[in-house]
Order: sequence, then structure tokens, then C-alpha cells
Amino acid sequence: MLLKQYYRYLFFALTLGINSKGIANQLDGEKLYIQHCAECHGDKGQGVENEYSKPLIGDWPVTKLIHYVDKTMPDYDPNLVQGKEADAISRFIFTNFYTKPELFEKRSKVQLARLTNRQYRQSVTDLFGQFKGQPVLDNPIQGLKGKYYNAEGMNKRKKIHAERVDAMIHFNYRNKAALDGMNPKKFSVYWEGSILPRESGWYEFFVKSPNGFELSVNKSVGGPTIDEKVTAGKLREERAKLFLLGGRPYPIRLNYFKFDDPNASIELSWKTPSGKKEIIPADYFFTQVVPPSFVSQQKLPPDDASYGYERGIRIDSTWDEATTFAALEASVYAGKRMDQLAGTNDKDQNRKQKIKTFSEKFIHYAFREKLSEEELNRYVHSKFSDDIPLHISVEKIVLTALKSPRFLYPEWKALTKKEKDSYVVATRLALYFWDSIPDRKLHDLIERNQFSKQNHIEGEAKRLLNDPRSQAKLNDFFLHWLDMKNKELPSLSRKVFPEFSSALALDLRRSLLRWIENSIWKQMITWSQFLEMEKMEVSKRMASFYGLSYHPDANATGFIQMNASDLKRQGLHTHPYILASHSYPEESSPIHRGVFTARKILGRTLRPPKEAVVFNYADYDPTWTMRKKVTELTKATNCMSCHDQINATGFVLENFDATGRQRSEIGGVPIDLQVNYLDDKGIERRFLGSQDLISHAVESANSAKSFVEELFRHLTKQPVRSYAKIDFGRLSEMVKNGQLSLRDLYFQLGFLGASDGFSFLK
Amino acid sequence: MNLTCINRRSALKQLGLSSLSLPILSQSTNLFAKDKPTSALKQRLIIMFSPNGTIPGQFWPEKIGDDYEHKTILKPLEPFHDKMLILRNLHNKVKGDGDNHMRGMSCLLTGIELFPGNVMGGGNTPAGWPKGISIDREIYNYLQAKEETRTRFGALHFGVGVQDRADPWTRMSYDGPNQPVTPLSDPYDAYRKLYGNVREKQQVRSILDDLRGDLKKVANQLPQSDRKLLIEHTELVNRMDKEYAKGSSLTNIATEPPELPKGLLNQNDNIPQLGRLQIDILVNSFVNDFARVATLQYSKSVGQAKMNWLDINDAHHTLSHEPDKNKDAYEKLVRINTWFAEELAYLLKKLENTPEPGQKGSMLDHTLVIWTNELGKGNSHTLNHIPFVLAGNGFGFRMGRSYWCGDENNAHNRLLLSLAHAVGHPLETFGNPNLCLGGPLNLG
Repeated sequence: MLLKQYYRYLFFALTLGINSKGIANQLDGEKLYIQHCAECHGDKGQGVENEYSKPLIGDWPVTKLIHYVDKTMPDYDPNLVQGKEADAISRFIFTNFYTKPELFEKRSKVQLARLTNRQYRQSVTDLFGQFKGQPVLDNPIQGLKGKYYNAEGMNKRKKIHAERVDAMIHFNYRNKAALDGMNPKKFSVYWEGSILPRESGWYEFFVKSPNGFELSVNKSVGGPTIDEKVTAGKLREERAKLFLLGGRPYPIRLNYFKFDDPNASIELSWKTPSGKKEIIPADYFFTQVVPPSFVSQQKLPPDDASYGYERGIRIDSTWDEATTFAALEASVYAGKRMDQLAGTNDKDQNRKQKIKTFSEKFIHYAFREKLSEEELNRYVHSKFSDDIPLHISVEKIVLTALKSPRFLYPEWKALTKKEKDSYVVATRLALYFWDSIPDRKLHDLIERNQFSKQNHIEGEAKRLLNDPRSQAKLNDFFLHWLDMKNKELPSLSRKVFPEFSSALALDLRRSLLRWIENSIWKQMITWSQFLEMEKMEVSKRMASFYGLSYHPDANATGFIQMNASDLKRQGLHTHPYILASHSYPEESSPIHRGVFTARKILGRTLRPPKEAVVFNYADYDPTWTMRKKVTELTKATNCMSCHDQINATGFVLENFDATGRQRSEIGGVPIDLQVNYLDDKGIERRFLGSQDLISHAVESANSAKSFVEELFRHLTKQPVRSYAKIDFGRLSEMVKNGQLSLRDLYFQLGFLGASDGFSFLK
Repeated sequence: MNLTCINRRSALKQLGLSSLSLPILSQSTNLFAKDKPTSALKQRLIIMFSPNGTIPGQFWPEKIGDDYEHKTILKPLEPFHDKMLILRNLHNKVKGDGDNHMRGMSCLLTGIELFPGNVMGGGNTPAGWPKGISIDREIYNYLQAKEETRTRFGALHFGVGVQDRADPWTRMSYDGPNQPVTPLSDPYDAYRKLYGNVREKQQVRSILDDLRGDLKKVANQLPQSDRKLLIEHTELVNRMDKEYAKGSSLTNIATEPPELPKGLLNQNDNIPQLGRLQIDILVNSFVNDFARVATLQYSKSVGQAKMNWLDINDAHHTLSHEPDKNKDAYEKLVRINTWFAEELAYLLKKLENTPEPGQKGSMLDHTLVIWTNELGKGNSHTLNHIPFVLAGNGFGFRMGRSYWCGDENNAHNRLLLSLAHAVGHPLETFGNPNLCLGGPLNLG
């Protein structure tokens, strides 16, 4: 959440006993401010420790500020300052500091930070990937390749009967054969391909069958992930949990054996980080088999997210221990796989030399810089000796690399004023675009002195942008921006909405993410197109629930693109996932919807309520509409300081019920959608529905700016103002005017952030 | 039957026990209160497995009785002559699904049929896991259920060169129907389970000086204002160093764990060292009283270990298929089985040299070791005349002899039953009840 923004927000606290008798006839705002307000807010609005400690800044128009001071300040006696006095004080505040946040900001600079969890995992995976090659899906045909055999038991493949692509593994053969013409008593099927999870996190895989099976997911050493080839013909379900990084393909293989069992069936499902179990849908499978990658299975403590984005500014013993275990895990893996990583084998005469070279490169890539001879001796050569087995030396080197501050604090060099160090830029490019380390290509270019001119670096930034890791990082941003990250799926009352299943909720989530992925990377949409959301991805389940006709096309994913207007949608905030995930189990929630819309779509700053108020159905007349109930609940002036925005932006969505279905009346009464919304310029706008709200949002500079800055923080994990040369105002204007697509925005932010402070070679 | 009236020795005899197991019995039944010792004698069981059958002609003693002779394979065990009991004429009579290797392995300690399944071997019908618990786990459950015999782990299952797969050829211990127990086949894993991650801690500590140097170097290059995090980091490193130096997981143990060599890979060629390490860890775990039951499984049924250390480059199972007239194969198989006997001798020696903590005698006096195999003979795949070499006095059997287990066709279930009875767990049957005719063997 945007806590910092809340803190910046205007709040007047106690003013201590200053006598109001001596009010000057001429209303001097400054004098009145000093008299009534300064004791708590500071003489220059800077805040007072133990009173109101935050600066007096915000995005309200002056008219609203006057109204607020008039009605609520000073808060121990709101009658003390009223009318013209409130007017004078508010205008003084407004012109002198309320609208000038820069007055209160110390010139911040890039802070030393450790790798965040995401950066850590990406970096370690890519470190090993440098040697084995990145698994890439270059021929993305969806589904898994199935080889069907007539067989005699699990370990005898007698004769291949057929080969075909299966979209999902969900078969009930009963007492029949898998395919016509096969022996129904004895057969086996071997499915293989890749799985491409979209989000990072823990995935639990389940295989259910009365027959024998073996599941392997991303396995490079040891036996299968689930080994159940021995069977007693009893239906059972086995599971295994794995951490996977989103946006990367992993090899998957399912071997299935039926032998004489009376029944045959097989089902492959999973539970994704968002938590609902489902048959793995077709759009996650690809027929191409990629090599396995190393993915750390170590649990890492959560990063500090108090500023609205994850950053590595804190360390403690839990983190130290967790990263130590992660380093150990990686070191043992490296020891076991050193021959493959170094491209050698135990019959190779140059084995030791090749393993040394691998180790040197590993340190080089992990530290993101060139090492001196002295350093190579210390980190690599000193670890080898004749009485230590080779793999122990490799383990030590990997452990040293991953525990070192040179690996863990990726931007430390940038803080040492290395404005001509190409490694600094390369490090930042990889970090900002991918959350990872520079790849081999970047290293090669630096070594060949081809990475110091602006066109070199910009060209490489473009290459990085087109790598799937950029897409994965942007996906991660949107999960956060859309309030989806680590959130449960919307779960509505089965009594009120019996047809709103968890499967539908999963489809809605997928629909939104699929659209974002396609529209940003393939159609290169702009900010306004993003907000307006003209197309929607629709599954069969969605079509049936929302009453649409569904014509399946050839693609295996089960999603087709439709005009959003067919679904009566008027913008991103009317996507049924967003509506349903911002609802109560039985009713729409204008407050939740309003908060989301005000913050994300309109870029407004909201502070958390002074005290939490629980909304309780039972407190209200059941015949009232939600609008009436919320209006009643938030009518106090204190509440209304923010709820005027929240309620307005939530009430315009009341023509959608909790499931996101359109409605025109509630309990026989037509819905009143009209609201008055006070924008950040102090202009009162009349919205007659969600369409008007979006029309305003695409015109709002504030809206674009807020998005640009939030994306930037997500890319760099640093405060916006740490980067001297980036003109966020201009970028926001370009975004608003459609001169930059969102994809280009990602590029600009990553490139400008990475090269900030670097002096290009002319 | 009024048990209090019967003669104590004959009662025990009926149960197939000698007076050595009396204290345990008396604890559980409280029949012989006056004999109840202040501290019960510990009883431990180790089952060692080697695969692919033996070479009967070089294994079985000709003579029955105390003056049995040690043929080539059993030669290394000669020093333990008086503490050994060689059981002849015991057969794995479990029928049903599964080839002989499979039933040999998975019915060896369970004495019960395999479920029909889809694991297809070299002959007979395919099969699945066995239908019941194995005797080691049965005894483990029994001992763990009682306060006085409960230990930290109860049972430990060690593997040596066991492949990373789960099928009826690779598992011999079972917690019940369809519940195979996986052995710890890497000594480092066993070590970690028993003593914590000491190896990792040493490894980490070995790089901490480098790390401190690194932190200092990086910090020195940074502006003063950016050093705070690195100073904190250095404090964390010092803290970890101190904590890891203590080896906190090693407190409260009776004896230090054996020294593990650095970086011994779990590979075929290292089987001799891996096996010795597992034995060292096993005995150490007993000294620390972590468990009373252990299994030690070399390879697996149909195991293909290549015993290069014996100058044998053929795979074990392939070799075991060779006919007797193939002298080269015959001689190699004798060497292979002799090598297993040497490993057993190492284990017995170790137990003999280890005093039983808190009690009289050596650990071997309190332990019964059973060396067995899934087949009687490799090339015939017979399940008759399964090798059962017992050693140690832990179960109160009369040792120092070879023993012909009656003239009738004895199912090995009777031995399994005797084991349960010897720890004071007088089961009526174990495994397939029809194979328990005659009850426990009379080994007292």
C-alpha cells in the first residue's frame, strides 16, 4: 500500500490552548496559522514530533481544504477556526507548502539495498542459466505431447500405438483403452513438454489415478518428483510442492501405466500461488521440451513493502540464515552438476582446468564485474588443492559467491561514483528490466568495449525488453498494481451466487492477466487504451455466467477475445475480476471499488481511516441500497474528507453486482449512478456512470503520473526522486497523450534509470 | 492357563525364548515380579541386506551344531563363531503376484503377499507393494509404544548404493499395506537427520573470514552514509560464526558423531566407504540411543553394483544370472558375497568393541544382527533356503551354532515371529497366518 503517500497526506491534529481573542481584524493567514496550527504542524508545515509529524501536503483543491479546516480544525475545538479565518489559514497553507511536496523532501539518492527475494531467486537461476543456456520456448505449440503404447506393465513399452498432443491431462478411460484399437488391459502413455507458470511462488502438483504414474517437473538430478509407479489399483492422489519462477518454462513429464487394473484414469492438477486447485489448464503447457533450470527451494522472509514496493533495505538474522541455506542449496547443486556446468566429464584430461574456468566465470557473473588476478586467486584458485575433492572446491566457491556483499548488494558500485563503469550500467539494466544479473551477451560487449556509447546501451536495453524476463517482471508489477499479489481469489456467497464457482473466479483472474500480457506486448497499447479496455478475454465458463454467446476457436486455451462492450464493460475497472474481488460475499462494495478506482485509475492519494469502521449489514434497513448504507456510514465530516472521493468512484460502479454482472435495478428500484467527483484541480465533475470516470481518467495528468511513478519504483526498488536526470513530468505527459505505449514506458523507465549518472562515451 | 504356576524356564521355552529376554518379558507381563531388574536390558535389532542370492556351496556350513565350519563366504565371520547362529532350511513361501526378486525383497520382512499391480519383472505376474507391515517396523512400533523402550527415532534405515527409485525391488521395510519406508542412502543425509547440519555449518564457517574481508572492502569504498547496512551485515556474520561454532544440534548426546570425510559422493565406486560410514553412523546412533532398530540395505534386489574395488567390473545382478559352470562368474560371486561378509564382520567388530552404555557387556551382547538376502541362489531365483545369518546375543537366542529349522518346509515367517516374541511381543501370527504354522522357531 502507498503508506508514504498516506503519511504525506493532510491531517490536522491537536492544537494546544492558544487564546483566540486576539484575532487581527485584517485576516493574516500566516499569523493565524502560527497562532492556531503551528504548534502541531510546525511553523512551515513540516510537522511536529509527537503531534502531527508528517508535512502538510496533499492533492485536495483549496476549496476542499477550506471546508475541511472550517469543519474540523483544530480538532479539540472545531468551532475555534471558522469562516474567514478558515479561509485565510487554508489559502496560506495551500500557497506556501501544501502543494509543494518538494519542500519537504531531502534530496534522496539511490540507497544501498540488498537483493529482494524476487531479485535473489532470478539472479541465482540465471547464474546457472549462463552455463546451461536459458530455456526458451521458440516454438510455442500448446499442450503436451503424448506417446501411447501398448504395454506390459510399467517398465515394458511394447509398441507405440499413437502420438498426439493433449491439451490437458484429465482422462477417465474406465475399463476401456486410452485410444481405440489399443489393448484396454495393458497400455501406457508418456506425456512430455514444458509448463510455463505465469506467477512466481509455490506450486503444488497433484496426480490422481488408480494406476501407476511418475511425474517429473523441472528435474535434473535424482528420481521423479512424484514416484507412484507401483500401484494396487486403488484410486489415490499424490502431491508435491515446488517453488517456480513465473514467466519461465520448465520441463514436465508424466508417465502413466495401466496394467490389468479394473479402472483407468489420470488427472494432473495443481494449486497455484493464488490458491485454488484445478486441472492444469491448457494455456500453461507447451509441447517443446526445455532443459531444467535451477530454482532455489529455500523459503525467504518477506521483503519490506512498507513504501508500496518491495525493497531490500533491511537485513536481519532470519534473512541471513535463509540466504545462507539458499547459498548452500545452490552450492550442493553446483557440486553435483559441475561436470555439466563446466562442459566436461570425468574422463576429460582437462577436467580440472575446465572446472576452474567455470568457477572463475561463476564468480565473475555473480559479482557483475571483472575480477583482478589477486581477486581470482582469493575467490577461486585458493579453494582448489590436491587433497580436496573437486566438487568441494566448487561448493565453496559458489557459497562464497552467493554470500558475498558483491552479489547481495547489486548496486553497491553505483554508489561509489563509477560514472564510467560499464558494469554499473549493465548491472542496473539487468536488475531493472529482469530483477536479475547481466547475461553473457552484456559481459561480452563490455569486454569488447562495445558498451559505453548511448546507442550501444540503448540497443541492449531493447534486447532486454524483448526477453521473456521483462514480461515476467511486468506481470509481477501488474499483480501488485491490481491488488492480486498473494491475494485469495474472490469468494462469494454460494447461497446468493450459487453459480459463481472458484473455477469461474480463476478464469476471471486469468482473463485479466491474459489480456494485459497480450495487449501490452503484442498490441503495444497505450495508457488510455489500457484504461479503456476495449477487448476482453472470455472463457466458456465466463460466457455462460455473463450470458454471452461463445464460439470456441481453434486455440487450446479455452479463451477467446471479445469486444468488452458486448459484456457492457466500460473500462478496466469494470472487468468482472476487479468488480468481484472488490465486493462483499453477498453484495457489491462501493468502498473497496472506490478505493481501487480512486488510487489506481485516478491516481489519487488516500490515507487510511483514522479509525477502522466495520461495515455491518445488520446495522441497516435491509431495504436500503448499498449506496444509501455507505452514505450513512461515512457521513461524518472526518470520514468525508476521503470518502467523498471513494464513494463517488465506487457508486458509479453500482450497476454491477458482486459478481460483476450488470444490473439496472436493485430490489425493483432503478440504480442511481450519478455522482459528483471533486478532482485534484478542484473541479467538480458529474459522472453518470463508469464510462465518464474513465473518460476523465484518460485526461488526467495525475492519473498517468501516479502510474508512471509506481512502475518506476517497481522496476528500480528506489524512490523516484533518487534519479536526478529523469523528467517524470514529461514522461507522464507522453504517457497521457499516447506518445508512449506501456511497453515503451517500461523501456524508457528501465533505460533511463539504469543509465542515470552514467557518462556515455561520445 | 494359570501362568503364575508354570515353571519359568519351560514357559519361556514354549515362547521360544531364553532367560536373556526375560527382563523385557517380565516388564510387559509383570508375571515374574521378583526377577524384575532395576533397569531393563536393552535389545537392539539390525537387519543387513545384500542382494541377488548367494553361492550356496561356499556359504552354508555342512555341519549342523556347535562345531559348524566357515566356508569361504563366511570365513571373515570366524572370529564371531560363538556369537553366530546360522539358520538353515528357511524358505520364503509367500506366493502370488510378482517375480521372485520382487517377492524375495518385499516379502522378506513382511511375510505377506504383494498386491496385484503394474510392476512387471522378469517373470510371473506384475505386482505392487506388499499387503502388510515388515517385522522391523512392527518391533519399532512395539518398542516406541512403551515409555521405557522409546527412543528419539525408534528405527533408522540406512542404505548403501540404493538407487533413487521406489519399487518392490528397492524397499524391504514397510509401515503397513502400500507403505514403503525409504532408506537414507546417503550418509550425509543420515548424518543431517541424526546430528543436524553440521557439515553445512562447517562449510559455511570456512568461508566466513573471506566474507568479512569482502564486507570490509565493499564498505570502505562506499560513502560513509551507505555503510550502515554493511556494518549490520558484519554483525550478522559474527553472530552466525558464533552460533555455528557451538554446533547447537550436537548438545545432549552421549558421544560425538563420527568424522565424515569431505565430499564423498554417493556413487557406485564409493560403496565401500559409504557402507563403512553408514555402519559408523549406525553404531554411533545406538550409542546415543537414538534407535533400537536399524536396517542396512546394500544396493537393491536386482542391484547392479559394479564392484571395481574387488576388481570386478561386471554388474552384480547380471553376474548372478550366470550358470554355475561359468567358473569366472562363480568365483566373482563368491568374492562379492565374501565382501559382504567382511562388511558384516566390520559391523560386528564395531558392536563388540563398543560397551553398551549404562549396562553390562558390549553392544553386541545387546544386539541381534541378521544378514539376509532376497534369494537363496541367484541363477535359479529360488526363494528356498534364504540366507539368514544371525549374530549377537541381544535376543536371547542360543548362539554359536548352525541350526536346522526342523524337517518340514519351514516358512521364514516363523523366524519373523520369533523376533517379535524375543522382544516380548508374543504375536500369534505375522504376515500371512497360513505361513506361521508351528509358531516361532525354538531358538533358545
